[in-house]
Amino acid sequence: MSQPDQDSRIAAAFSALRQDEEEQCPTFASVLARARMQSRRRVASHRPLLAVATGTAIAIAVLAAWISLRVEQPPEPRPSIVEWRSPTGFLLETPGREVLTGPEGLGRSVLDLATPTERRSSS
Amino acid sequence: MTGEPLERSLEALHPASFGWALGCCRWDREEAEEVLQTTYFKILDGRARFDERSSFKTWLFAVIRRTATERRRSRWLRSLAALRWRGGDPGPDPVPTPETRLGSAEESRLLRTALGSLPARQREVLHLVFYQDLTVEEAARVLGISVGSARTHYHRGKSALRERLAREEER
Repeated sequence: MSQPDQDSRIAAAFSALRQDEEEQCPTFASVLARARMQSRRRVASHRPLLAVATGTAIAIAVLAAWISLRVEQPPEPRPSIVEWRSPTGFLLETPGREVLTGPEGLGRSVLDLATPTERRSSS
Repeated sequence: MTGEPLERSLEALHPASFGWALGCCRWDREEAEEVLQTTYFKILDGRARFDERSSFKTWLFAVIRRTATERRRSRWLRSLAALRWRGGDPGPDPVPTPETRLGSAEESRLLRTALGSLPARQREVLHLVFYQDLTVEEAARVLGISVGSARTHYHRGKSALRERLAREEER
């Protein structure tokens, strides 16, 4: 069998196949109707998702507005560092601490600080 | 192209589209109808748009082929997941033999059997050229391959088909 004959044999087989399949082809209207139904179903299935997304967006917007509009509380007055007193400061109130905190006086003895001057002068 | 002109164009090509969908689904009629339905849905929904870079038929056939491939892939992945869950080996995508698909004339049955044994690309090129009367260049555009590659598939497919048809007829 020559090449063109073989090609025409294949073409004839395909032609028969096409004829056969065209007879079994569903109508365009039925396929289109199902496609439209599929499209509607898709929209319907997206509706709850859309509602959730819209609700979330609204909640976020309301929250953002509330935060931005909220009146800021005046800050509590903080005590100055100069006024601050340590709660355990009394422990440092020991006898003779003047020697450590005050300037040393000329002609004064440490003993003067520990004992009253009057008693020393009277003795 | 939108609305009524688009629908008219789809309707004019509907029998050819069904034939091509059947070819893409290895003559599984139910699957071919699903593929065609999804293709129309994609087009009407605007997810697949005709950009007029090729003929409408070439573009439509490319959308049908892509849709069939996507469906086949997702079905295979689903079956893979199901089998993994059950702890089995998925194996290849189960494909019924052409004889079990459409009850038809002997000639068509022989051709389907012979085509079914060809590699997918050869089968597709032969279908587009002989069944859909496209040129090899147009077939290449539908399949998204080079013209040279399509020509090679066409020639190899033709000689393989001749051999298989002869063998089938001898039986």
